[in-house]
Amino acid sequence: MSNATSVEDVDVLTPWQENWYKLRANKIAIAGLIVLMMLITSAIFAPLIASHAPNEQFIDSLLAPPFWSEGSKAGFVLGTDDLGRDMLSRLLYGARYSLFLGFAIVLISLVTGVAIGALAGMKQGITETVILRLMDIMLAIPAILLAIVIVAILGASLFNAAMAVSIVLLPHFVRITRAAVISEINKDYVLASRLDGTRGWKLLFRTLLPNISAPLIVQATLSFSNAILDIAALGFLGLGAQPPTPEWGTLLSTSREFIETAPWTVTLPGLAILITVLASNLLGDGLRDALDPRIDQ
Amino acid sequence: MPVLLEAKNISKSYQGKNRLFGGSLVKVLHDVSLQLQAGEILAIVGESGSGKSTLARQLVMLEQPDSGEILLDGKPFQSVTAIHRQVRMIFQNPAASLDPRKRVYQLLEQPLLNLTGLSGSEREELIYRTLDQVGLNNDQASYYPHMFSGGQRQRIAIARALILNPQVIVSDEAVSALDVSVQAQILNLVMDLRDQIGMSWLFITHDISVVNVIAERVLVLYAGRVMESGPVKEVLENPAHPYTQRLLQSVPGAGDSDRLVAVVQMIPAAEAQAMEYTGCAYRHRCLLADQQCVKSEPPMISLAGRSVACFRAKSML
Repeated sequence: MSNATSVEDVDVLTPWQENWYKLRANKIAIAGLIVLMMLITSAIFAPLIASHAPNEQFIDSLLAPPFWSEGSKAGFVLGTDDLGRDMLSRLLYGARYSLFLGFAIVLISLVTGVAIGALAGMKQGITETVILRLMDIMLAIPAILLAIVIVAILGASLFNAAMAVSIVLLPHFVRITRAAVISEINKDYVLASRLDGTRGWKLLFRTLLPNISAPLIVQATLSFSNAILDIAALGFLGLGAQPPTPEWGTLLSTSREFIETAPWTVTLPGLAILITVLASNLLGDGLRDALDPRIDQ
Repeated sequence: MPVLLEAKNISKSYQGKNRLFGGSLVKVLHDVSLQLQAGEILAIVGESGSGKSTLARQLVMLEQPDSGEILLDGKPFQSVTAIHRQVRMIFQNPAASLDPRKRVYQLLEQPLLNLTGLSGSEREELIYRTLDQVGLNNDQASYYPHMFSGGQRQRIAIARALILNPQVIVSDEAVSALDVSVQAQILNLVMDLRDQIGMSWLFITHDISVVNVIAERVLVLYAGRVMESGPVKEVLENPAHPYTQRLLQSVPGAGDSDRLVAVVQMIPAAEAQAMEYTGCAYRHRCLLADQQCVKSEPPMISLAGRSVACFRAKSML
């Protein structure tokens, strides 16, 4: 009866493999993916790539310009800031904060958002109404303002800023999950799954989630760029990472008084944020196209 | 033959659409009773909106009826798991009822994992044996549902119903979404399986010609009420209810007139259900209706080998 090979061994494309082939055809999305991968790699290997420690000061070379400008100094490829710290090293170490926080924030909002949204979608009734109205209230307040309020309550620190941004991003995941669960839960395959004895959390994880993962993945990718932006904005306002932490938003804020005399100290962190956000948005759009069932087949 | 599955006076209402001042209750099933005997195929026919699918949902315990009881082997439904193991359902559209993210093997393994305590190798053996029974080969266990044709998908759905070796299979319009040629294959498969395994089959359909081929007994449903029920031969060859007659006349090649009679939609079935009225549910459309039909609802009577709910039944025969 049984074959030597198991079911997984037979050469059949899984749905995820199919999606990967679709995504691969989208050159812009792949460009975004490659840029993101490079950023992540350089963040992970920052100690190997960076020529200096991020907080090491060189008193004899304050505000040294980057290599393409006149008066640049050897050893400081992207110049130094007002305290004589190497910009490239600070940016590389800063990528660790921004990218790691971006991932952590998205993970936290995704997991809690899916749990709350699934609860609303599966329970319905009063639970759903309460959850949805709460989320509506959160959506009614501008994101950054809400984050500022939360940080003001919790106190200014990088961790609290991350918590604040997670809460700000939460309603989107809740709404998407709830809408997807409601649209799927009465479909025949879910009913059939219930008749097969799958219920409760098992029904959510085994049957519903694999079928509603597409919009969640797209939202997660787009939220990643939002998280990085919001963290940077909070850092810029002095509510996130505190100096001398080389977080990108904090770099921007501490050097904004030198925007005329040493523009690179401001432009480079800004550019880093821009590239990261752009790359993840491009990837997110590509994923949306690849995973959208309406463009399927 | 012993009665295997019995429904006694099942009623079910749904909350109507939430309008400005709250929806009203819409009663979809009115005191529906049926008996499914061991080893038989019982067909349930009726037009769209007659409550066929609702009845199926109550019988497989996807929903709880408002009143009435359902007995399996003479005992009321107790544990949901036991019912799900004994009464299995096949849905109309196999493309929609098979989880697109699961391989056939996983689809068939799911009920075994949840509802039985079989070991991995026992499950594997059972899955391949069931695939063989429905005419699919072992390699196809690795495929995803979208890689199959409509008929093959319905075979997978039948395998999923079959794999727990149930006493009753309820199929809701199981061949309506298929090509005519594929329909014949699936109907043959259903009859073969019934002959080999001997389970009872509740076959819900709107297609009278299918009933003729497959079923031993038939139950005609209109507006959530049983109009007529009995052996296929008697009911379809010599209908005692005006509604059964109308249904037959609307089937190509089944009526005696040379023109098809469309079932007159003087009042849409869905509206007829929501309306407040007295008497027979069918009287708005019935050509034979008179004052008696308005005053009181016709009781179910036994007549010429079948049960029928009509005051005019005797004159119909």
